[in-house]
Amino acid sequence: MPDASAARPPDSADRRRWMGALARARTAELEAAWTGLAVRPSYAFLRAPETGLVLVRGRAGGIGAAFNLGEMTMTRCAVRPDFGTGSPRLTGLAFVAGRDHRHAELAAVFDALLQHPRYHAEVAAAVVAPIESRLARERQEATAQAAQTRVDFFTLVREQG
Amino acid sequence: MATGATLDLSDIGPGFGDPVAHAQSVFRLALDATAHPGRIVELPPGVLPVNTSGLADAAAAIALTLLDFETPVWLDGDLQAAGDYVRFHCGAPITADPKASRFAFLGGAGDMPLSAFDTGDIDYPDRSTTLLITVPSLTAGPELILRGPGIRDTTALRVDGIAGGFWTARAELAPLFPLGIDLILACGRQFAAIPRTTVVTGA
Repeated sequence: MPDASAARPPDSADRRRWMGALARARTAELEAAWTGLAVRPSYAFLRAPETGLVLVRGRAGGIGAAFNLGEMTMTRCAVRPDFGTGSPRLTGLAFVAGRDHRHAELAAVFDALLQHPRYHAEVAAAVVAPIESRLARERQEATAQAAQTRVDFFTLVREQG
Repeated sequence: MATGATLDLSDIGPGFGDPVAHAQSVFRLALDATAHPGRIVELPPGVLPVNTSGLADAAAAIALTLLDFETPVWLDGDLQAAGDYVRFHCGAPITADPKASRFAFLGGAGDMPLSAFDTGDIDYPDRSTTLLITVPSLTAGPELILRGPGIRDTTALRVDGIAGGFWTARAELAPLFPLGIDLILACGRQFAAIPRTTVVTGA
């Protein structure tokens, strides 16, 4: 590894969060963010976007035995941006639901940019933050809507005898 | 990833530029080579122009074509660096047990006795270990005479870098047929196959 401080381990909580946000972004959002970027590095595909199936496994209540929930369509992509000589060789990865190749490609590119100290702050503020706030807002709206229909059940227990 | 060591991707380069077309063309070459033991075939120029795997170009192309999550791979000592490449691009598990491997990549024949590999079982003789051996040359070296299915009379192949004892050990596996071990010899962008049915004699 060329520079341990710059390259983030793939399972760091930060990276997990931004990869999740990028995966849930709309392609149009990523496209707009990409064109709005001050410097757009060129990149090569380590693995061009490819669509396949993944088996989603679940656990009832998070404690039960694991079972196969079902298969879902997923597109994955790996890119290697060219940051110029002296920069760490970073790899951007994306796994997104559905079959939108462009979405996977842009998500992977942004994942690589976020690992680079020179781009991290800009991309985190201009790309990830708006996506995360939109996702939070949508979730809040859905929760609020669901809360309107909440019914509190009272169970009348028949007296024994 | 839930299991296995974390992959270090910083040294991994791209695989096939056009995965479907290139895998098909390499598969066709492997088929031709196996159907005509001793015939030297060569990767087309557009296939795998960049190879960062640490394997010979031909061996890497065959790996990208034939390996998947169901084919455990065993790597010779000096080819360990190819493990990450194989895991990333092929999704194949790396095993330390040669008997458990479906494909074994060797930098030359010598250290490893052939009996270390799997010859398949009688119900499924195809579930054997296929050896991909990288050799220094397929045209300059001790002459081998090949005969058997796929060869009209005899054909010659000059393989460098394989000790004579290897061919003796291989001949001892012949009575096990239909069990056996298939060989692919890779040199740069060329390769040749010697399947289990071929009889090899030294010159």
